Amino acid sequence: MPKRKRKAAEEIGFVTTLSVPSEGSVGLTGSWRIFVPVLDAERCNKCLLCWIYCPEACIGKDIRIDYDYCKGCGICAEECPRGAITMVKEEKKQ
Amino acid sequence: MRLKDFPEEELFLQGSAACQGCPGSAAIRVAFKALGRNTILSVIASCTSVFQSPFPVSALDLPTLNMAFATGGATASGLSAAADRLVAKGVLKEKPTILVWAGDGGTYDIGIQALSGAAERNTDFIYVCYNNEAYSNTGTQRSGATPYAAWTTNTTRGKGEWRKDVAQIMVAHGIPYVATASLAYPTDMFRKFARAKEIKGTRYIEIQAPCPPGWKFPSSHTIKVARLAVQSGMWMLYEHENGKTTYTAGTQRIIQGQSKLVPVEEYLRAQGRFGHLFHPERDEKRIGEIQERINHVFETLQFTHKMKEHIMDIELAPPR
Repeated sequence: MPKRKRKAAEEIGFVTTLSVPSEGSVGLTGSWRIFVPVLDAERCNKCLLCWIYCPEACIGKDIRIDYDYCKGCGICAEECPRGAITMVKEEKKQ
Repeated sequence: MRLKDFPEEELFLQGSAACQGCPGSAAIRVAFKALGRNTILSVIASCTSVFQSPFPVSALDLPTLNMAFATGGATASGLSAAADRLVAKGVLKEKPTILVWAGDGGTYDIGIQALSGAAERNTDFIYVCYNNEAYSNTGTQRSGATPYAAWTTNTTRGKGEWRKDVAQIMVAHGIPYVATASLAYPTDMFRKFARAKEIKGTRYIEIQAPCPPGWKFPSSHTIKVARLAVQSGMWMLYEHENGKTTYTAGTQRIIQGQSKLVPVEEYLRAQGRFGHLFHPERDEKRIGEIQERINHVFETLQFTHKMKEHIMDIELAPPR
């Protein structure tokens, strides 16, 4: 997935009152997470259901989970027909 | 269209301000994949405004207008006329798809006048209502789309009225395309958006959007609740084109007898907003009323289907 970061006003060429499309518009939303999805690649049959159901577009078509932005909603684990994704309580990184 | 044929490009950018398990952003992803980059978006005040406009950034990678509640049809009319003019002048090679993205408050209650006007003029645009059955953005107040007996902050003992059906109101406008979609059936939703893109004129698509904080269920159950809604008959999937209604996906399977209607109790129990129907004591009357209404609709549809199959090929008006 191509990464799109926020552009500075100088980069756009003019000071603007328009919002600019940006990844992470409210920061790294991974910090919202209490439970973290963990993929068991051996069980996965690439049905892509988690990819299309993820409300945050955090699972790529190659079933790679973007932990920077994953909010830990748990839809992928709930909907995985083969139980390849499990939600594990996240240890605080401090 | 299979899931693996869906385009990979994301026009919804990660790290948005949407809640965990937000149905709005899940619906937006499928819709944008089907419509592609040549789209101009007008977002009507709704939960989508929250993640569309944390100035100076936006999570939506499309040209977007952030509009007021009652302006859905009006902005679309303006955008569509401007795009037509630019195509005539040769500035644009191809007319972009005009997409209005509104919630149920902006559609059912506040925006219906402008929508009705635009539909009557057959303005060339797609109107999407993602229906979370309450004003979730402002803290779950009752809307015209809130179903009977559901809790909201101002119907604390459950709403006393039945919801209205704007999709059927749009069918009555005689516009070229009306469809309903569900998050749990993404291929069906994708196909409907792709079909809508091909058609010229006003197109209306309504998506049921189970809202975890508003409907009071865990954020991981968004898709599960959406699926239960279709399986229990609380939400029906159909498309209406050329005066003919075709039922699709889960609803079609129930009508054709391939799968059974799930008791509505299962759907109600999955959500905290219907909790007062079960605690402290079971409210048989209201649960029965809801089930009876669904049964009536599906018995009629199943009867129509059988008639069409065995006796004669006629089209009955869909039940209201």
